Order: sequence, then structure tokens, then C-alpha cells
Amino acid sequence: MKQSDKETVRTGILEPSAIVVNGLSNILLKAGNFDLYKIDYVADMQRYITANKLQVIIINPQLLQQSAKELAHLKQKNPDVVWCALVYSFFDPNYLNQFDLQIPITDSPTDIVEAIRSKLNNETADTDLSMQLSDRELDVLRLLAQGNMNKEIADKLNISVHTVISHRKNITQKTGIKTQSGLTIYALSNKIINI
Amino acid sequence: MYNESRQYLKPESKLADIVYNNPSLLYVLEYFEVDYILQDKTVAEFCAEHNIDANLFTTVSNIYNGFVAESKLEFGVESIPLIIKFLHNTHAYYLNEKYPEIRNFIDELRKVNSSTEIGIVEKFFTEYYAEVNEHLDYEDRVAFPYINALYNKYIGADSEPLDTSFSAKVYRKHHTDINYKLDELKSLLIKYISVREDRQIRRRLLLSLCDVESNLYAHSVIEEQILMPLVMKVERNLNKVKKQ
Repeated sequence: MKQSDKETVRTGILEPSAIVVNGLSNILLKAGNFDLYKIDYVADMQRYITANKLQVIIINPQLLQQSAKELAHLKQKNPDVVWCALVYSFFDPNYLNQFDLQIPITDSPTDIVEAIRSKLNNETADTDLSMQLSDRELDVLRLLAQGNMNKEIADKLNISVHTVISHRKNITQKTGIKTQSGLTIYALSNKIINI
Repeated sequence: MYNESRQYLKPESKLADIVYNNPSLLYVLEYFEVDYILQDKTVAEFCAEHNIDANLFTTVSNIYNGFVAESKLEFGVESIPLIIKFLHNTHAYYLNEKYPEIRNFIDELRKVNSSTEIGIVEKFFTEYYAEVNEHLDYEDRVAFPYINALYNKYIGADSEPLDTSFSAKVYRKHHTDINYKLDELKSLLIKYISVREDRQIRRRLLLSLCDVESNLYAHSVIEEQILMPLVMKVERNLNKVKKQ
């Protein structure tokens, strides 16, 4: 799915200067579709990325102590995040080139927003993020919630166990619920089944 | 969960000031078995007095304060017994205090909300608790005695052969499952199960779940990022000695 201009971009900012943070936040918020998280410590960044599913990190390169190694480690751990360097002083170009994107502080607001968006489009994978369960997935969910095992579901729906497992994977991805008890509760709460 | 203004602890910080604003550190002090009459001592002074590696104390505190530990942590192997004691104390907290409390809240919740969903929540929790129990029991019965024996061998206090049924892999798998199930329980209570006159009791249950969740998370980070690397270091060292 393409990142459209209407979708919010969850972005973390790590920058020691409050003036710069406020300026940048204003620019991004005016563009209208950024959720911003101000992160105070590098040590705290991973938690933010995981908890808030951040898509973009804008960071003052100074904060990684110019350590290309640390950046490589972070990038490897979070391959889907767009890593942007906010540049307003001199850094070793070899280090800067490791970032996915460099934002010179002299850039115009439109350029900044556009650069981030286009980077994001390049990196977003073609996954269908639709949260609606398909009719077939609902069938599988109903049988699961009634306590059927994969094999029994396969027999009842006349499909292979492999297909059942694949439906289950999709259900988990869409609902965020994996265990059988959890899925039963989900099905009951959403009136997919009645007991 | 109360520490909105989480502070990053450093050896030169005044410990009392930090605890004042970051109450989750009370857990850390308790698990290290130190009392908190802190006066104006800095973290470094406090640790020296109680014979705790200040670096270890700072790292553990910051983990409890919600800061993610750096990927590579290096501590001296002489801290192993203290870390084991600490983890053992966390177990006592879960088993004697936290889980009975959660069980109690679920029982109360059932009394006011008799829906089928809550019935399943109880089943869910029972299954989850059995798993946690198995893991904590595994640690107390297999992992910790193994690590203690390993350490004693390392410092030359013991020459008994080691019980080798311990596996770092099993250890890690448990953590993932436990954290996952707790998260799912929270999510079901917040997102799906309809509220029936149970708002207050549900809030108490949820806050309790959040508390145990962050505590368990810190516990697994300490085991995986602090304890296990030390264990591996000792194992490597002993193997080297054996080969010579």
C-alpha cells in the first residue's frame, strides 16, 4: 500500500535544542499529518520506536556520538524506520551518508516535508493493512472460537491445514490476538459467535 | 507506571531525589535487599556502602525506569550472586504478592460481570499463570542453582561436576511467551470485552497487570542482557581452563 498524503506519519525527534525542536515540530504539524514524539534520551529511543510503531526518526547526528557503528546497529534492528539526520553543523560525510535522509536545517518547510514523505513511500512495503476480516477468515475464526483444532477446521471448510494456518496468521495480524482463548473473547465481544 | 517524568540515573545523582520522583526504584531497592534511608547520598556512595557495583545498580535502575538498556552491557562476574539474589526476590514478589492480587481482582470482576467473556478471561489467566509458574520454577530449580554452581567453580570454591540440564534457549522462549500473553490479556480488557458495572474493578485489574508487565519486562531484560552474557563469559573461561 502506498503511503498517501493523508496518512499520519509517526515520527520521533531527538534533538537537544528546544528551539530547534519547536521550530521543526511547527513545520511538520503545519503539514498536517505528523504524529510527533519528542524523545529525550537516545537510551529511550528503542522503546518509543517499538511502543509507538514509529516510522521516522529525526535525530541530531551529534547524539549518536558520530558513531557509524551504533547507527548501523539501530538501522539493522529497525529496518522499516526512515533515519533522518538533522544537519546544522559539520559532520563527517561518510557518517552522514549512513542515514536514509539528510535534512539540512536551511531547507524550506515544503522541501523537508516532501523529502520525508517520498523516502517513506520508497520504504513502505506492499502490505495490505486492512483490518477487516474476510468472510473466509470469519469462518475460520468462528470454528476456532468453538474449540476446533486446525485439522477439524480444515475438514469442515474443505480446505487444507496449510490454508487454515495461513488464515490464522492473517487473523492474528489484523486483530493482534494469537491465543485461542483470546480469539474466542474477540469473537464473542464482536458478536461473531454466541455462546 | 506513575513516573511520568522519568529521570535517567547516573552514579553522581542523589539517590533520594530520583526515588522521590521515580517510585519504581523502590522495587529495585527492595530486590537488592537494601533499605531506603537514603539521606543525601549519591548513587555511587550508596552503592559503595552496600557493596553493590554502582554501574550495575545504575543500569538496573534505568531499566526499571523504562529506559532501554544498551545492546552491549559489561559487568564483572563477581556480581553474579547478587544478580541471582535480586532475581530471586522478584520471583517472590510475583508469586506471593502480585499474582494473588490479580487473581483476586479477576474473581471480583466475575462477581459483577457474569459474561462468558470474563469466564474465558479467568481461564486465560489460569493458563497464563501455570506458564509463569513453570518458568519461575525452572529458574529457581534449574537455572539459578546451575549458575551459582558455575560461579562457585569459577572462583574455585567447588569442584563438583555441573548439572547440564540448563538451556539458555528454553529460558528465552519462556520470556517471549509470558510477555505476549500478558499483553494480549490487557488488550482484550481494553479493546473488546464490554463493561458491565465493573469499571472500578477493571481499572484496578488493569493497573495491576500493567505493573506486573513492566516489572516482568525489566526482569527479563536483566536476565537476558546482564545475567546471560556473564554466564557465557564464565562458561567460556572454564572451558578454556579445562582445555589447557
